[in-house]
Amino acid sequence: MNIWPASVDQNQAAPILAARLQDLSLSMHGPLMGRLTDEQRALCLGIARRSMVNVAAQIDSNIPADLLWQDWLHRGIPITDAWVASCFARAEEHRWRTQQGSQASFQAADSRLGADGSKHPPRHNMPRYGNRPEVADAYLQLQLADRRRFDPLGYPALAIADLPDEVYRHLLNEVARWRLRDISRDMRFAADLGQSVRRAWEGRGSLISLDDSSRLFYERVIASHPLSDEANQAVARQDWLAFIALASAAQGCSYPMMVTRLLTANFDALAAWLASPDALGLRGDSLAALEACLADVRGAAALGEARE
Amino acid sequence: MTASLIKARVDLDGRMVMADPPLLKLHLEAGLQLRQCIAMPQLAQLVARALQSQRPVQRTIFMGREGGQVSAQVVIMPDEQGADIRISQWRDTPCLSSRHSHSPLSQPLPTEWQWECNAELKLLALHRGEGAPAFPQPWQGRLLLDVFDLHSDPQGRFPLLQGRSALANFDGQRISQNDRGRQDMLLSGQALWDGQGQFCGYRGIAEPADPADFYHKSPVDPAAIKNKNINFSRRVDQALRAPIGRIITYADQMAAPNDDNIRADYRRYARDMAGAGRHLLALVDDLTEMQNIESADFRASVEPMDLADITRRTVSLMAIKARSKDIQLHGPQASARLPSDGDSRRVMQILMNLLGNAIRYSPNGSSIHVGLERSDNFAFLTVSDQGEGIPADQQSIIFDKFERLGRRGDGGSGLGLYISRQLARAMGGDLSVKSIVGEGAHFTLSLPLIR
Repeated sequence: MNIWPASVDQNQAAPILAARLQDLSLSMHGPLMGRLTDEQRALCLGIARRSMVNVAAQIDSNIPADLLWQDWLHRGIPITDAWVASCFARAEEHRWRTQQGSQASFQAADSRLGADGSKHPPRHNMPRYGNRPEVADAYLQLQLADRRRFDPLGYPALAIADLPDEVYRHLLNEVARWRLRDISRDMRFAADLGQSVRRAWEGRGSLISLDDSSRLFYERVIASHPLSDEANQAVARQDWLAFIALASAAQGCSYPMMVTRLLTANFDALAAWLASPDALGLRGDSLAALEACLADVRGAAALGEARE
Repeated sequence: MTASLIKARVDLDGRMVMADPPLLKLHLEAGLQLRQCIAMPQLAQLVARALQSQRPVQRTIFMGREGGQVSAQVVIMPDEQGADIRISQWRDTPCLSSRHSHSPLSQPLPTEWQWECNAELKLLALHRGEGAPAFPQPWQGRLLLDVFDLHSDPQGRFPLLQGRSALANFDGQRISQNDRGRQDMLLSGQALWDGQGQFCGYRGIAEPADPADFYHKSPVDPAAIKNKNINFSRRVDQALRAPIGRIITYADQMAAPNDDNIRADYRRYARDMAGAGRHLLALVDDLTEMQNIESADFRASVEPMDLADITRRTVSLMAIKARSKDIQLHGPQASARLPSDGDSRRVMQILMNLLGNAIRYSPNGSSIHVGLERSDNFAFLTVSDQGEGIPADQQSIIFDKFERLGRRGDGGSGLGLYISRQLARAMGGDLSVKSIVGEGAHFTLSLPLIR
């Protein structure tokens, strides 16, 4: 059975991920996205590696993931479009939120300074969903799902639950194939490995993904509150996690897809949908704030300021 | 430099018709005047866009000036006659620098944890360095106070609870895991804020605590864990600590002065609740300690130490508390030495109890002296205050359990002196008091000299 994806030639090293990402970005025709910076490529590559490490650990915690990655780098990473797209969306979202996080910290610090530079208490200490415990619980689940997308050292990664089915299956196959080919040809070992892969595949069904959490959050929000209020609040707070979750669930697309759409689409076209009362109903000031932050992220990409 | 809101106005052709001084200064420096087009390219571009689309535009922009640059948040609101410009977060930096020079996420060192919680102190993230202790499972979404035991610092404070109450950064919060023996860590956290200045949690690190710096010995001595009383005490400790911590946290949140939805009198009640909670938490500490020292297996470790050095360090620790009542604390001179036998952490614990009592019961502006003496076999440490003193008939009972001499509501538990005397005796010494009503009290700790 040929377990290589159709896009990869077994006899020839696959194109490296960085080059593929460049192809991908060019194909998106997004403003200012014609060239990926070194940082964007490094982030994507790091996320790809960590997603492989996560998957390898699902099969067998003893798989030497570092060795596997070195081997892949040498022979060519068995990428697929879907895997690349997942890494790209995660990397761009990480850049966005890291950058905006820095700015939010600055702005919050500013807001606590009076005109004379003296310190004042912060303006708000209200529980975010104090009178809506079911929304508060869903938001907590959303935050937990979000934080699961980091490796044990705090670097951005892809949680197992968030990998698209085809990517997860592909990575399971690729890791198992490497394990089988490079470590042992023992038939009994192969049977055990097959069992491990099957268990890993079946075990994923019980995990809660970011998309699951986003949908739950969205449903609980609209059950208790106008969606537009919540979306405008999320923008005002620069709570991009909540905003993307609401937008993706409202649009019926995946969270990473919404990230990519927000970061690459022409904003004037996007604004029409975001402002529509049938969708998120963003007000003019929210649209302006969102556009400003997206422009910052795109601008940073163009200037090569992004970092991991 | 950070200025408050800066305003300007442009006409329909994008010419600046009015500007507050900071913006006007930049405009003039660039060689243009009022009623001319805007000199700052990014700002001019945004104004043109807003006028053209008749839609509000908001951006972070950078404006160069001689020897530096200005970054600012700009909002342009178009109308029928032109547009209003509102500029906030005006940052004037002397040289070109990246706005993104620091990352809000940093990786933990090998021995550290990195952690994050939301505004309710529910854990969102825990990452551990390769050599750091494991943390309890599950922790996701649980209250930090349920996952870890909080311990007071040498001043009797809980930095995390204080930080949460004041919405401020904190450090030095000692925590232990309540379901797997003692792996104490020191927690520090940086307050997180969203784009509206709303407090939204903490992110920080936890590093292994240095046992040498801690005056509390573990309330659960591994050698004594077989003792049923200790097990009972441990369970009580675990059962009480988390809910009391939760009461304090929520009461502090309600008492926060910036929550406009809570009535002023309710805020006062909440403050009282938080204070009572802190008192209860201290009582739990004392009860646990009492159970520990009353167990048959309890042994204080006795080793050579310098009583003068420990006294100086403790006096230094308590100086802040004394200053809050304008009390002068006088300890031994820097050159003084008094070698004796004892457990330095326990001696510090006793001394902190004595000094804490002295500060509590001394009038504002008075003095407290800590003197050292020695005889042939013993070293003596005496804490002398200028309080009301203790009547002779009460001096014999003051070391009894829960004896408060009729005092209530002053933050004491009635166990401190009892525990201190038991500890002193466990080290081969004693604790005694001499006092004349109206002339203050003298508490003397004796410890054997180095044999």
